Amino acid sequence: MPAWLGGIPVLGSGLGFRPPWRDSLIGRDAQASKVDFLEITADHYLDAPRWKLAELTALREHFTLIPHALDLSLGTAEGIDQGYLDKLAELVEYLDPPYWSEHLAFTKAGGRELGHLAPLPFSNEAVDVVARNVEMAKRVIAQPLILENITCDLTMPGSHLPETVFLGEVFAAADCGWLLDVTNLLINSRNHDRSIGAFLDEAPLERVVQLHYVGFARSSSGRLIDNHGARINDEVWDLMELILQRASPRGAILERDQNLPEFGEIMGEVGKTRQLGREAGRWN
Amino acid sequence: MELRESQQQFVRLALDSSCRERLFTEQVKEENLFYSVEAEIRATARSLISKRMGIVGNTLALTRTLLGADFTEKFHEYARNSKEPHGINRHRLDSVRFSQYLAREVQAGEFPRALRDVLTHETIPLQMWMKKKRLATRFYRHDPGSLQHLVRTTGSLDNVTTCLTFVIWRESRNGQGYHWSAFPLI
Repeated sequence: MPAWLGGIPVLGSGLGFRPPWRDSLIGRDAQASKVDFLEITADHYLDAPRWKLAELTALREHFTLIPHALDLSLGTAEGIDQGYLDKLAELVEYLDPPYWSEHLAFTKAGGRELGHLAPLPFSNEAVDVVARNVEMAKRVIAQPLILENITCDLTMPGSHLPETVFLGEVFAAADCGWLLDVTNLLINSRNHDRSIGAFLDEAPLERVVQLHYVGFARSSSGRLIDNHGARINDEVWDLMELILQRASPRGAILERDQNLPEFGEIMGEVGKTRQLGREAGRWN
Repeated sequence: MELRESQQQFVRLALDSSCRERLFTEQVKEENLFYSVEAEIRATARSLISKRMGIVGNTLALTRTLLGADFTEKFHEYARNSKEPHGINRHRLDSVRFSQYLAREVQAGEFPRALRDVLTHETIPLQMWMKKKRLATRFYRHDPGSLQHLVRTTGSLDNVTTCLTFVIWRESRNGQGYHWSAFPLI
């Protein structure tokens, strides 16, 4: 395990910031004390107007903010967009977080943007591409980077490594941590009929820095859909509990993008995660 | 095929229906690395359009309520006939371009003229964001408050009354976005 990983502070149970919850968080609704830290979507503040940046300043007064970027496209073989990277670096420098996060994916190629996270083939070439792009990002962003596993509707042609080996090689080659998305892991395992137990036995859990979790939907055919729009399902709670026993994340972020509930309901889920983390000895 | 080429092909297949139709024919099978995952590629393509439409629909919420099923039909028509936007502001650009597309449909008589004011009202904050403007002014043919009320309560502009209105948009100072004030002139 790299030394820098041990230097990341314990953050606890946090929330992915969404504007409808702004007043509760900034106004410090009594329940907001259950939130130990916030994750902000970096892209929402890149090249943003003054009022949006004022929001960031207000949030920063109350919480540690972790920037989570969507569109750097660290898996693009053509390399990353320097203009986007420079804007992201400016934001990260302003927030001065203990780390920042992106996805193990690509979102653009051939000068076109998918607007969506697409998977990489589990191959040595993809490991090299990510390592090269992360190296470029590190030239302008000093804080450690953690990479998130995404949901995959298809296995990209050209894959020749087991996913766990691919993850281990990427994290080692790029020298970064793992943002383990519990729900994405569950969805991929169910939809592709893979064993979660076997995955966890072989995965580089020593690299886990943070968790993501969110509820999912089910299609009529029984496939799990990563819609970011439901309460946390029991299967996610069970897997979260298991992962908290086996890995040592510094924090966990609850995500929700659709059907946003009242702040109180969200706080119930953040509170439950805090409790699970306490029981596993991960945070107070 | 190297990763660079395969990613470019994936993006083309996911975004271009004409490319999909060509590369998923038997004749060019050997050119298509993704031939064996046609169903997944088609599902990805559908999901990308749905995602774009969902984001644009949230931004143009009144327009979506007003047009109902026509919103979906027109968005697909627009998406088929234009390239996806780029950059940090791509979702805002998408909404603005789609509203311009609908405005041309209004001009062609397909939708009521009052839709133009709804489109203007919903896209001014997007333009202000992209141009970093703190103030914007417009003349509307209809009072925006009445338009909003009508759309939300009846889902229609059938009973809209013309009322020339001067509207001032301002950026808030407290992280709350953009606010407007309307001044009826007649």
